[in-house]
Amino acid sequence: MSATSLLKQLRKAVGKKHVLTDPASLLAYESDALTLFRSKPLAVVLPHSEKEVVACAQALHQAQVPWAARGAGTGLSGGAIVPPGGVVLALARMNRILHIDPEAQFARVEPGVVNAALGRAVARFGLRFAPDPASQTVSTLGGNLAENAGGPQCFLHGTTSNHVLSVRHVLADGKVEEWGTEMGVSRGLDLRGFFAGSEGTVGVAVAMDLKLIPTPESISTFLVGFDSVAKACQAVSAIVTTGLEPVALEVMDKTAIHAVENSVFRAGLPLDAGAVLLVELEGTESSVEKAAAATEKILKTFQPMSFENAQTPQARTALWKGRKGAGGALGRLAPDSYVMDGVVPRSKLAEVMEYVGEVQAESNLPVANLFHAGDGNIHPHFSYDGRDPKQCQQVELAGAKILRKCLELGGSITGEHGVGLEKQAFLLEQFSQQEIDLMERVRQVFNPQDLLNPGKGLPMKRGCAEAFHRHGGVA
Amino acid sequence: MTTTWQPQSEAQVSDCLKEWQAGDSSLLPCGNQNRLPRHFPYSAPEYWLSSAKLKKVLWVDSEDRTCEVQAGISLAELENQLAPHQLSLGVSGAHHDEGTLGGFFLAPDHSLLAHRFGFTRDQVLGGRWALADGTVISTGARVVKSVAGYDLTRLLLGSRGQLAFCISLILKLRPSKKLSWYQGPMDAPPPASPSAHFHFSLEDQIWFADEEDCAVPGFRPREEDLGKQALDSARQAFGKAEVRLHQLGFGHPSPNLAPGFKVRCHDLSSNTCAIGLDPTADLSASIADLQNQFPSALIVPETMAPAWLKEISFAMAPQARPFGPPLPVHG
Repeated sequence: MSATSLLKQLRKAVGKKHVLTDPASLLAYESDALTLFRSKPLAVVLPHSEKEVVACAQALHQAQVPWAARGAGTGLSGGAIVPPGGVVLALARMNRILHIDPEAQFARVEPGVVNAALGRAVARFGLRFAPDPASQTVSTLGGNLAENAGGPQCFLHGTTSNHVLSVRHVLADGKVEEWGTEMGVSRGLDLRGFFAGSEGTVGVAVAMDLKLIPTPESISTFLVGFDSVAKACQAVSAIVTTGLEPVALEVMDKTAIHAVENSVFRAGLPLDAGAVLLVELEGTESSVEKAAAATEKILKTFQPMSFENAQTPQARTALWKGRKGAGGALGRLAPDSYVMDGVVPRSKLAEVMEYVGEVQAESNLPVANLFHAGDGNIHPHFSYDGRDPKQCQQVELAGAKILRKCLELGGSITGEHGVGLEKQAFLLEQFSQQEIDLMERVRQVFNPQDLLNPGKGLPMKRGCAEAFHRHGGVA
Repeated sequence: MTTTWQPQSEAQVSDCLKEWQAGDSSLLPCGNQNRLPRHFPYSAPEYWLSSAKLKKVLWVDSEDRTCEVQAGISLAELENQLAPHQLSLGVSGAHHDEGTLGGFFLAPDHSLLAHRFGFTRDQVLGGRWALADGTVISTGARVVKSVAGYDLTRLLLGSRGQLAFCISLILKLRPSKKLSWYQGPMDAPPPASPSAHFHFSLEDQIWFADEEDCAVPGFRPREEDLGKQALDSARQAFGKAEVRLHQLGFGHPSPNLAPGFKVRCHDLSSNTCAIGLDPTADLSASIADLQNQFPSALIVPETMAPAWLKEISFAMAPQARPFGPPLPVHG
């Protein structure tokens, strides 16, 4: 089938104005939030319903054209772009909350619903959706599911996978499957759990049942300044080993603090501190009171430079706005920013952070650190200028070194951002060839021709890598 | 004649599988075999490959709250070994003492603590597995969060040993908490405490255990021993259930059932009932009858083979004969 007749079919499926082909409109779909990779699609299609997604999938399957689903494009691993000639299905128009069951505590939603919008919709029932990626005011639940997104609260509540009861999705050939049930009872293989984090290579979600949990009766948030990142990490370890269960344990270093304080996300962070630790506790009033006293006692043994307890919801919101806006705030430092997503066992946090410091010194590029300390999930943000090939090379080299260190310490190359195009080379350092081959064969069960989001999540076959233009950088 | 192999090391598991592949008999992985009649009522394989002698706790990392354990250990024994670290898996299955950890997760069983700790499968971070051709692979990672590659662990956990033999599992643990135990009558309003580990009704009493001391109207504090006895009875009731019924919004206390059915235990937090059937009645007719009474409920006969099993089984070890005998597929 020619490109012209494919476009004709796609226009028939979704309506003429919902197929974008003009260069200016396509520009926004060239990359996700990881701008290191760019690729211009043939067209962007904006379906409005499951029926339209199925019709598109069938046309694309028939035409043998590669395609991928995209939510808000906030992904950080190059997962939502297609090779040249491919088609992007942008699901932002499928943004209906189909059903909220406050008694059974679940909601059925379409993939284009924004994470925070679901939170707002269920708040009046005293419920919430726990996964809270920093992008939650923009990112979509379909994208959260595809990447198995995390966030600060994952320390207590777990990642997106743990909050998905069922997923209805369209396979590469247009068939529709529903995996799991709204009761979350899997009849056998946990295909629902397998779908989470499959980076859009297994199917495209068109509806999903999500678990909701009650809003806590009481919350307490501490903002503690330390003279160094190392000390903040030690405090985290001490809290965890004592058996306390905070909902979140977040650390930001001095560069991140200053970036936030110089931006619209200003949160009143202590400018003289080498690092701040955010600790949030939740539960009943009495349990939070007890845990807060125990936490305070531990934190004070590490001689903090500052110690603050955000008492009001407003104060807490400001703190979290600062933490979650930090990524955006860092954008002010340089034209481009490269965020890493390594994981180490929590006990190795101080060690890996020291190594990040060494790599930073070698590369001579500014780095800011903000990380989910409770999960051992680090996010060094390197600032660089993508127009300078040398800086691109340096930033990729720094990333490679840090991820290898994470593996050496018994960790993982990605905790919540996904492999995408970015980390494929490292998969073979985390898994054996046999294990990768096995994943590849499982992919072929669902997506045999590799037309659905080709080249993502698993190492690419020879020759495919060149399809994606990578600006500057080492291949 | 059925032979049961009980390998004691990863290498022995692999050797057993290679020996089996060289012949033409059928083989199926298993644990302690105490739920077999329910899972495989039709034909037994010629060989069982059992994890019964793989019961070591390989490591416990108390700072990271993770551990790796061989699949043949029982939940009770694992909890014993975690106790000195003040850690707990937070899972309480029907076959707590005699079942294996691998069996609990692979032929997924109901945990009475799901209210507090969520889906039990979420506690599994990864594992070591032997495929039908004897290849040993790892899935997941030893950290609490990893999205590298496909999450194959999820597929294997519900596979009833039909995709891979489970050698060991990496688990996410919780700090163990001291509990307060409470008992109340059936008409007492159900407690809605977020720190409750479970609440279930057993005969005409409701029990719950909470991390906090809480004064709940209609409930009275009970000694730990009595509470533990009640928990044991609830586990047994779930173990003896012919079918389990899951339904959203059951209401409270227990659902009204037509004669011929009896609620053995009702887990109020997960809305799951362990149901006993009239032993003289036909099983499938009883299930159909139950489904008529509760059209929106999920009634789980335990022998259901999942769709996709065959395709994935082939993908796991394409050069090998699959684990068998094959199960009939019910929808």
